[in-house]
Amino acid sequence: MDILSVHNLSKKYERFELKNVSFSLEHGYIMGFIGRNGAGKTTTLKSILNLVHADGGQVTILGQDFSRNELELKQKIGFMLGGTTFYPKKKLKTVADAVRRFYDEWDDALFSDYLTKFALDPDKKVEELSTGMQVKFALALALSHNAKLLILDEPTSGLDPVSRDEILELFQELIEDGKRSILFSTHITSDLEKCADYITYIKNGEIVASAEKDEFLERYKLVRGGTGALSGELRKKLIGYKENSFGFTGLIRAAELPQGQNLEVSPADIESVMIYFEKEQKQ
Amino acid sequence: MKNLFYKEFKLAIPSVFLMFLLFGALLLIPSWPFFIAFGYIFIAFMNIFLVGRENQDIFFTATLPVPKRDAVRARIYAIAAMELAEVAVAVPFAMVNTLVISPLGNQIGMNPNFAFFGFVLMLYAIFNAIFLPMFYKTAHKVGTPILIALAAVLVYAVAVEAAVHTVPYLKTNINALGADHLSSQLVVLAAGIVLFVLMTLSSLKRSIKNFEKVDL
Repeated sequence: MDILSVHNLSKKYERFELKNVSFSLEHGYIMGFIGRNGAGKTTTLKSILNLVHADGGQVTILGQDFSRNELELKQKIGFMLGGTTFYPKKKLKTVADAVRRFYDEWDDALFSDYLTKFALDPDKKVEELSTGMQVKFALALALSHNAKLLILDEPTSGLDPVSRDEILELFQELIEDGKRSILFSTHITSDLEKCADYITYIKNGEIVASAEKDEFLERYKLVRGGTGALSGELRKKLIGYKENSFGFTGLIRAAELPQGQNLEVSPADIESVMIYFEKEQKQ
Repeated sequence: MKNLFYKEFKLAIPSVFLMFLLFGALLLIPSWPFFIAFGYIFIAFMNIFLVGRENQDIFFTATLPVPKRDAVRARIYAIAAMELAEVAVAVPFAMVNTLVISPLGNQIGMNPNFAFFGFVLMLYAIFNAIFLPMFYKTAHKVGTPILIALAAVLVYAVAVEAAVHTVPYLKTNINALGADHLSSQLVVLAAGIVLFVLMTLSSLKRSIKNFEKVDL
């Protein structure tokens, strides 16, 4: 069963539009939500939680319509907004003491277990934590109220490679029992290679693809060729490409791979998919 | 609501701002416009909303499993509670002033009698009616709403002071000390209470309506 299903979510701003965003996530999986800065990742996540009022669309969480069961469903959700520090001058225990009151399933013992596990000192102030530790604190709060769905906006941004790896490993640990799912946005493609089961890629407010990671990658191929190989027909088929004096490198849909041409074909990685898709418009 | 109220006073509103209630003690000073003593709390209010913005309080609350309207309600009740507490703190000092310090009354401003406190409640009602719905239109702009509200409050206070010193009936009855004109003064106090409640509730309603439309 889907833990989260987003259907045709749309929101129009003066200079940006979220266009019919749809994707779904099953229990026990991690979905990476990628897109460049300003692509609409945060707006989508905020719209899912009704923090931004979508103009249209439907969000279903744990089988229930979110707009109708907002409060009940929020009990089951842990949300973290990237780059936002709540109450930096307050001690962790003060923030936790205010938060715990709002959740029916808050478990004090579990919370102190997580504090120990993440080496978080409750007497420290939020601002004294490193960025990675702040993410862990947000996770500790979410997990202690037994959140089933973690929606995390850029949890790995600004983290050093070691902390990032730690957080990603933790994500995998959290979904192991199949009871929780994580949707996290990022623009760091190596995060997804490490831990995402599914990838949803958003570009200019539109979903380019939402699929299981390997399936997503199998859809595209990287092609390389000499200067003469870039025919007009091939140009049309390429999603995006880069030219230099020796030839070109481009991204193509696997189904549209031309036969019999002298091209070097290699599997695509997430970073290349993103880069060539974003280059698309400029050509 | 209880939880949100806890959050307001434990997390959102720094307790130092509760010290502003002590400005009620300024009513011990003889002969000056006592309305000013009730204005200091606006400095606290402005800072409460600014500190909230710094701490991303609105966003923090929005992620909790509470309706948006309750977040507004908790904050407005907290503000109203502080206003009422300010009045309550000032009352004993006003009594000491009139009974002990200046038995001849206030030589410059209005006497701190029952009617005066009715006018103070109306002053807070005006502030609430203007500032709160304006703030919740954006949930982040504090400056303009507070300036407009303070301007209105200032005009109101000056008008009341001018009226009780120039209009004969107000001068003799409403501004009087002692028990002689108690009934008319109690009417002003009652009107103050009613207006404070009605205007604050209507401000709450408009604030909720404005805040519901805000995209966070």
